[in-house]
Amino acid sequence: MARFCMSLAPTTDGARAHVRAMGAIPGVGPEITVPRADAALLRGEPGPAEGPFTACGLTATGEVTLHNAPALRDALEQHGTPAPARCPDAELLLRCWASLGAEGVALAEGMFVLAVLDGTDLVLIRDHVGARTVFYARADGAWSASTSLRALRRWPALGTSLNPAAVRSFLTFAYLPGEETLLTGVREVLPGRVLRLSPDGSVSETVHWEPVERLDRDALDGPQDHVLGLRALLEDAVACRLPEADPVAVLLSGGIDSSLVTALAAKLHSRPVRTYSISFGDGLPNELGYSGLVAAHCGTRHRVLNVSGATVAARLAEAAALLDSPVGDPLTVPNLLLAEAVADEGASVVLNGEGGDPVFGGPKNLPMLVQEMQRESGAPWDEDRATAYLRSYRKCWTDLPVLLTPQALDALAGAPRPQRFVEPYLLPGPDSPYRMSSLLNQLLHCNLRTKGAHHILTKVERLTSSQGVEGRAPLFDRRVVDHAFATPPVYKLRGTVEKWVLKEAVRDLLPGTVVDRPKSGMRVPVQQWLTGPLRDLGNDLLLGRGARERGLFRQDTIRTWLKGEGTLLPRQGGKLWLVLTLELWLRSYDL
Amino acid sequence: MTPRRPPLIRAHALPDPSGGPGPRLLVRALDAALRAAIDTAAARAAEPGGLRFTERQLYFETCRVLDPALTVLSRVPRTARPYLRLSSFTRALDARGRDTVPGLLPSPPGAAPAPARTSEPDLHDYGLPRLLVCQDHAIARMLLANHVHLEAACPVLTVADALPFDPRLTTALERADGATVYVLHDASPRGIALRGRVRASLGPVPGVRVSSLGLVPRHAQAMRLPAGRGPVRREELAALPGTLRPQETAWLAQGRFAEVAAVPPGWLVRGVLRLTRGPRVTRASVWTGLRDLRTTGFLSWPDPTGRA
Repeated sequence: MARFCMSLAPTTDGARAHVRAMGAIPGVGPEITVPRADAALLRGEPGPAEGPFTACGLTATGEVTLHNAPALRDALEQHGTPAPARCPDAELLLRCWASLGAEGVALAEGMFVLAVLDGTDLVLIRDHVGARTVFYARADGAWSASTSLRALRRWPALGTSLNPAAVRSFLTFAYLPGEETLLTGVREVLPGRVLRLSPDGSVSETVHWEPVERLDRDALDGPQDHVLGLRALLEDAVACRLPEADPVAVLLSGGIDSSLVTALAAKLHSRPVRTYSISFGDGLPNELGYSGLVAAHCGTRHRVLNVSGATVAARLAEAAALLDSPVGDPLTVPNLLLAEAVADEGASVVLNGEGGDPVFGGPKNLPMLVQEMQRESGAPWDEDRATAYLRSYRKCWTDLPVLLTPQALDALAGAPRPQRFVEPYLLPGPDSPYRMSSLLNQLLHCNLRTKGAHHILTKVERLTSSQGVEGRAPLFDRRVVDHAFATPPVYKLRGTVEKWVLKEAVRDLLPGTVVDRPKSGMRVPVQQWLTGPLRDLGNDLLLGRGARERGLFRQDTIRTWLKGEGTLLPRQGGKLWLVLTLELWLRSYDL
Repeated sequence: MTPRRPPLIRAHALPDPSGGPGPRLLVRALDAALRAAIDTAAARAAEPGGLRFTERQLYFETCRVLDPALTVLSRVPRTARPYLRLSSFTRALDARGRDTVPGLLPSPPGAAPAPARTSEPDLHDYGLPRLLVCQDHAIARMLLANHVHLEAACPVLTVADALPFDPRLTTALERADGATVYVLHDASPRGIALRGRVRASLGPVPGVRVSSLGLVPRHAQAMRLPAGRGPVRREELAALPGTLRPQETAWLAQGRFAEVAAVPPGWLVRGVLRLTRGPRVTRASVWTGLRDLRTTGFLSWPDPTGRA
């Protein structure tokens, strides 16, 4: 279990010093012989990193799980550069890069980041949807990259501090939606990208995959082909993610997305399928009826995990510290406990239903459609689409003037606006490569590239990795995503039925009660936690000396929210949760 | 029970400003007090969360500031005439400077609204589960300025803009299979008749319900809203629905009316969101039962899934 780090410096000794400063232990693991560079594994940090290794004359290290290795071998064979039999996934991906370039990377289906010493450059490769994450920074004339943000935090040459623009992004989105991190100078490689870092400090980026809308609006054919095509892709996406000779676990909420993954796993896997659901306690809302129904229908071995508020209070700091960038959803502790349960029972792969909403049109699209219907130039409510999208997140975007202290607001005066993360998708210029003609597809594209890559997948990867388990998301399969953007939007949001084409594709596999139930989402009792088991912790952390001295948040606003006041609608709990998550994360990073 | 009034500024009885030095001092003092009341009212109207409000809402809020009895001193349902003359309020507001009142919306433009700039072709391709039609143009703008349309996923239109309905909207409502058109109206004969007008204008769109979200006299009395008095039209009274209580009809027959603008802005936005956002609950009644029977053949059994 390890993460990796790599450095490219003016001298070989310098590179070695940087790698050691980031936490690599000298003499542990293979040494590399590339001039002015060094790479190592960071033992003790939970992750699937391997290397450094050499193939095709290139040295690399990475975290790579491929789901279509045979197809990649065929491609290399046809190119005349066959890969050795049984070579590891990371080496196979490196050979694809060496032989086929970015197109070879695009052929890969899987979860991967790969750092390659390519000539005099350091090349960073990230998978299509962002299932794995890699960070990079430049200091002292050197480039460093790592899959551990903590490693870069330890790099003394960088001297990181808190990035105020990222604080604003987090409070707006509840995660960090793009390349920025909470550490100044540290950036994240965007999904679907190959980044080439040169010794002179220049950076060039290649896009190996970006969703493209493929619609012929004038020739709206019937839904049948789209439904059947999607069904075949879903079966492939689940099948290629099943562990060959092991049992598989599925996180089953009882919604359509995780239910269809359960049904397909039960249908396609020859080994036992175990399902796991969460209960927050008797008397609190849950979806156990639906998840139990699906488990019985699919014949899985089902287990309900009881997550009490006291447990959440006890494990919240640990969950926050496991994340490279904070995630303000209240499911981090439950997700961690599920990963523990899966690991305890001996499964190494856990499937989930993440991706259904951003890929096929879940809730929250209708408000933005209505917003556009109401556009009126110069009206007091008129705002551009990107700004309205931030508002539709319903986090702390509108509260920033009363939430942040004057000093924090001053620090943000010259910071780039958070709208920049969504504008490429929602307000593309006529020649933009991101342009999609339908508003629904623009919203889905935006969700996929922001929430999908920087919240959902990141959270899953970090929390499951911490337990040595691999979380896999079939609905984020690149071919499934491509199919979604080739499906007419009216088959995704049909009338007011969300994810219609997805539901039709699996209607025969699940009880009608599950397929046709309205979306409810997992109702997490945040408010009860904050006024119950988390009350003292919340008060001490948010109003204590540490938070006061940091000077980010106005104490009077926090007190008002803690009393359940200060907002038109009762959303104080969700807002406080963001602040609390950030506070815990900052403490864990000693910021 | 008649509530006790605290000693207040009778703003509508302000002396002529052109009087002698004594009256001039009094006028200045009263004007200053009224401006202070407007400031307090503006702060209250914006709570919680920095709401935006119309001039008329600010007027009614100022009435409440000047007369706490309207909201505080009694729980007995009643309405009362506004204690502050509108002309006095307007004069004081002008003197204070409208542009400097935080949260106060500018007056609606006289010209027709600028057309939407959206160029995406699929905007009306989906279902629209709800739509809000407001009697008062300024209230519609206030709800929009507070982003009610985004929060509730519900277009907010004024009667003047909505009727006749855009066919794209009616198609989208029909597509939702169970949509509701909400009508936000005053407690006045014309306001109460608005639901019927909207229903008639909508025509026979299957599955679309038109629902009143507005005030009737008993709401105005329960909320102790300031109420006005105006001429009574016999034909409007005759058209009042039978669902009103006799006391309500009598109240309206006296020429009384209460405006949605008199509802405190926070209550109004919260109320509209609460009533529009929730899923429509299908309530069984004798009539829906009869309609179901009409679609079920004689001697045939209804589909147990409810799809028949």
